[in-house]
Amino acid sequence: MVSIIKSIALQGLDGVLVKIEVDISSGLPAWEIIGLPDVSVKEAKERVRTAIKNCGIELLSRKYVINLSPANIKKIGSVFDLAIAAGVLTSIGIIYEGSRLKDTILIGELSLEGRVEPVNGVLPMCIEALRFGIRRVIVPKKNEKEAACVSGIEVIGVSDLKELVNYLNGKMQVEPIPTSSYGARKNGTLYSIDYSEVKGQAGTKRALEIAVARKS
Amino acid sequence: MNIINYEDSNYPLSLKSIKDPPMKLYYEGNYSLVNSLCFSIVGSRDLTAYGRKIEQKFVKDLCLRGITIVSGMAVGADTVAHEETLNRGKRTIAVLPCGFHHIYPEQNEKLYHQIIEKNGLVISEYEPNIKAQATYFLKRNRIIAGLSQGVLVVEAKHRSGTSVTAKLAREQGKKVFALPGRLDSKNGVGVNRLIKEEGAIMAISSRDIVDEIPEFQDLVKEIPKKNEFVKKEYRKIYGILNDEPVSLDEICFRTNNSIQATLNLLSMMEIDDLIEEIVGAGYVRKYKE
Amino acid sequence: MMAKRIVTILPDLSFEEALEVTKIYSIIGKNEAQGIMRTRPFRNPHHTISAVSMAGGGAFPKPGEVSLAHHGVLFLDELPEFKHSSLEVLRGPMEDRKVSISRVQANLTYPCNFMLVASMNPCPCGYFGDKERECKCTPSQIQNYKNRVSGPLLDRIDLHIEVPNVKFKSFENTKEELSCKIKERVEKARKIQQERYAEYGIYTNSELTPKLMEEFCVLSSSSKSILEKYFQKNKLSARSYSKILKIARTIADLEGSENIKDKHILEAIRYRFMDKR
Repeated sequence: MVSIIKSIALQGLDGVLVKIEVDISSGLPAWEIIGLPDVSVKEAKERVRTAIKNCGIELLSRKYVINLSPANIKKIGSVFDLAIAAGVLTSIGIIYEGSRLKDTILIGELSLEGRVEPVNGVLPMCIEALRFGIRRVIVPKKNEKEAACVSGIEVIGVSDLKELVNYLNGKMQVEPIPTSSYGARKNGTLYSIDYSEVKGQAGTKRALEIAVARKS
Repeated sequence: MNIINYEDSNYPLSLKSIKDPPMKLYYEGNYSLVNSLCFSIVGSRDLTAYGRKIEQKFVKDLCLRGITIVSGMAVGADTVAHEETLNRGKRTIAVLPCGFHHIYPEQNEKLYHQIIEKNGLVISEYEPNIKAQATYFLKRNRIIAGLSQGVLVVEAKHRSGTSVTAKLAREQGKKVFALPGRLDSKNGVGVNRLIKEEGAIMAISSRDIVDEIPEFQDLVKEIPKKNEFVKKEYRKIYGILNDEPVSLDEICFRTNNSIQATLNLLSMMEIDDLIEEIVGAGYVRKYKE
Repeated sequence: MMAKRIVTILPDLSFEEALEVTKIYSIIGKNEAQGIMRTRPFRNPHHTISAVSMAGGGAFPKPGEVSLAHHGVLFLDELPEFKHSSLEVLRGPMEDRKVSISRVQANLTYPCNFMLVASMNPCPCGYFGDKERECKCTPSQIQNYKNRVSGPLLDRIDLHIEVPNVKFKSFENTKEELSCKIKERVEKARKIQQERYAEYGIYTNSELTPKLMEEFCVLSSSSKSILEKYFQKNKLSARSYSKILKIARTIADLEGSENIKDKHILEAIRYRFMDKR
């Protein structure tokens, strides 16, 4: 059975929705990641396999084919670890309740112990995901605050693989992080420095005032 | 451009008496200056800021006595000598090592025009289409020395052309003066040697020069006219400025004006030719004719 | 000292701007607080920086200093010391306000709408014009030093400021204006510009085209004659003319004056002293 999990790749600040397809078939035991993965993505198979094992889940010796689509863009980094793991676990039936994966993307790196590690670029990924109609993002716990800057998307922070499985199977409730608000800021101290600390130099100050008044 | 021959009645007397006088002189500008009281100021091309400052002071003192300043229009000390004289509205003579069609150095083309515009004189013994050559620099120095009552060397490196000028001047019986050089600067070596070994007179102030040259002694130093044409609203700033650059900050503080008002006044004064901005240092007074 | 504090007089970031800044810092993993960054970035890369680190790129394309300074200030201290190549890459991004990085697999674009602030000494040793220490540079050394910054880059710099070498002692006890007061004036001036240019698709005076300048930078005959005199005296180019006009427009806006007056022109010409030769 082929399972499909979604994640997101960044090209600059633009996102590309990436589908992770996992297929398990009989044949010589192997893990194959295809779909223009960078070296850093190829290494994911070792991290994912070990992480799953260390969560106490036994993996049968089969042929695992993992395809990252679209295959025409290069995928870089460890952000797909979590999605690949979820794909594998769905294929072997450990994740059996698929409803929470609808309109959801997974972002995160795995440690060998199965912990979900933070990654870079969570904020632009979430903003882009919203653009693709994604309703929910599952991110590393340590990145949840950044992800919650985006309103209109549900943010679920997970700290390890077991938590992810339990959440997806509906065995555990994880409260979405409330969206942080960017309201008016309180008066005063945005910066720890101030012009008044510079004595004299009236000419320089005046020129800088003109400089900033004319450019956006 | 005009030509004077050795035989002509108005050929400069001062040059007739030197060894190897030029047979022909090409000139542009105010020719009558060859008969005025002249003094040469020469020095290094790589003038230090210190040398520049001191040279300006000497040039100012001498030209305000009505003495015509002679130099070679090279970069460095020569340029300072000409420029400072012109800034004071006084007379200067440049002696070129080249023909008039190939002004050397090229970057001083502007200065060349200024000298002529401001009633100065440029002369050369070379035909207009002759380009500058290394040997010409030394040769023309005999004219520089010949025209003048004395020569002041500002800064000179060891064995430089400037030292040769000093030697030529001495052979012509002219007084040679040198500013004491800095001991930590290459430009100090030449001048100090002139003083120590070759009998140059050490000049600490322009008085040292004036006292040695009888023709200069009766000249009265003109006091630069202050405030005469300065509008009332300029006076506060003008009074603060002098020959040493004063920063905007200081002007603002001492006049107790707002920064905008000060900037406005400075622009107006610059347009009216009263002051000059030295980039990186501040503002100085500018002297009019 | 001063450059670092420019961000404190810039208007607060809007939500969209703050989000753009945070996105860039998120990509390089430097959004430590994890929330939205409210402060405008201040970047001061060292002069040994490479062209790639300046503009962005590398094997794993990362935003460069120009993008890290997005909506903030990029400060280049000792401008002549920077590598020629690192300065040349600034020109495109400054014009386009975005930087494109070409890779085999893809073309990436990062925004980079920054304010460039650069400093240089009047001479290599730094003591020119100093009253206490003597400058030992020769004219040719000074010229070489200045020539290290290319003309096209200098052309993109709108205001020239001279910062006094030694602090003037008498100021030690004066009370100085707070950043927020200056910011208020800046915000007001920007609002005037925004409203004036609402129908023209631009926001600020720095974006004025020659055609729009004819409409919005009209000079009285006395202002014109001031500028003419000044230009004749200093032999300035047409480019300096339009720069001075735009600065004068801004000074008038800071004052809330609809027309450009003599005093605005007179002040504006002081900020273009590098044009003089």
